Amino acid sequence: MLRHGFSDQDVERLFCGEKPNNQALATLSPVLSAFQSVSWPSPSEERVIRFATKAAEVAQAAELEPTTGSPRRGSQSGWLPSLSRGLATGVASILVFSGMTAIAIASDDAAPGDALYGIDRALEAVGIGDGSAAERIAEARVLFDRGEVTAAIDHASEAVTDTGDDVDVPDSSPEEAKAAAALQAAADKVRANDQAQSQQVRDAVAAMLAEMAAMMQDPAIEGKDFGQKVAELAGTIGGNDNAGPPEGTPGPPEDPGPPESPPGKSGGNPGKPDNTPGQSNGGSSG
Amino acid sequence: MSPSNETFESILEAAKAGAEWAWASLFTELSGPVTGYLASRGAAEPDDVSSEVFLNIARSIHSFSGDRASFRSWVFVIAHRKLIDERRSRSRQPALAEFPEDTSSVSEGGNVENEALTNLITKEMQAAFAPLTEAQRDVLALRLIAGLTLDETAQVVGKRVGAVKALQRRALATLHNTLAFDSVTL
Repeated sequence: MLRHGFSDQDVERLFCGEKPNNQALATLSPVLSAFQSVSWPSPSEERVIRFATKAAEVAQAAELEPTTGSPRRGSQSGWLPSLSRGLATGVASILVFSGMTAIAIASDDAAPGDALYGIDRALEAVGIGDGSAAERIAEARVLFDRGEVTAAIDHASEAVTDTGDDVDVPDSSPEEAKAAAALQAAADKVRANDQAQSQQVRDAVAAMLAEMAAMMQDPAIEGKDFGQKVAELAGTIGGNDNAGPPEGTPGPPEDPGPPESPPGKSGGNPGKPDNTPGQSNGGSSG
Repeated sequence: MSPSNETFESILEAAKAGAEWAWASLFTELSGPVTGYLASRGAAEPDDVSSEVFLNIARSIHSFSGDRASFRSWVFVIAHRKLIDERRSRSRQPALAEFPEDTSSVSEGGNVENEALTNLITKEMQAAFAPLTEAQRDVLALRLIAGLTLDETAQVVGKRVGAVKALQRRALATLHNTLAFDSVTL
């Protein structure tokens, strides 16, 4: 069995096509270079031209609409509160100090589906913005505030899988996997029973997100405790609300961000939905 | 105008101004790796998704500033996002296979031999990657297919560098342990 007896530098050598020192790693060289050397087909000239024409139009049109969010977004005003929240954080002052301008500030607190979300992530890699689990939770809260309850739960599951430090961290401890699975089940339950409008569910989700945020601030809490707690909280979402119509004031309509199945599909049968998530290891993130 | 004659800065500026040549340059350079990444990770219609990625880029180009490397990262961030979205919607329909049987989506006039080779490699890769977790496969695909650095990969998947290092190590260890018992000829 190959244990982790090889260094990070050796791994980098392997990826760069150099010969690693570790014998076992070296045996992987031919395999990896075969994958690496595939030249994925370049687009045909016709396709390039067609794309370039369209893209040029789109870019020109976009220049004329600087405040655009995605046109399918239910409420454009969801953007502005995010902006002011971004300005309120310390990150904004660091950005201004370092000469980054509206781009970085505006993209902070951008949530999935925002045009600037991709930039937010790109900035995180160069050290601007945290990119950590705490930021994922903050983004989940932005989604939640916009009424995208199920998207918020989905997004919060990313926070669960990034609780590691810069050491040899299992990519999925049992507690993390349980938490991720519980969040997945909660999201599916909410989605399937059209409970997004229920005040009880919204309160449960809000409480869970708040708890997750608080735990992130507490250095005493370890990854496995975090995962355990999240699993518990996720389990309470949509728990006993299958009996009647949703209570309380309905929230804003859910924005169809990532494609999801129409609400109410599986009716209101009580108990856990019998879905088997494809991968519950919490490995998917972006 | 070949990319090497133009600095990235000038291409970016021209793209923002709506110059078709600039968009052609960016698309020609990056569309292959993006489509390859999506195909290797089991996207149902890699060509279509790839086009969506680049149109997203076109829509948001004005809010981007940075060098060639950050641009490349941004493109893969968006590509990876779409992959995740597709996985989530697919996981609600368990009847669909995880890896599409036929990865030869229409490449519209692409070279037939290239396509056949691509499909073969994709299947080999999927077979080799089968014992890995989704996160491990993503990391390897980004490093090998997209050719991203460690830092860029961490950016795309939204994890810390330390976590990505761990994913790589485990993935390679698993690959060695499983492939060592197969005679894999490539």
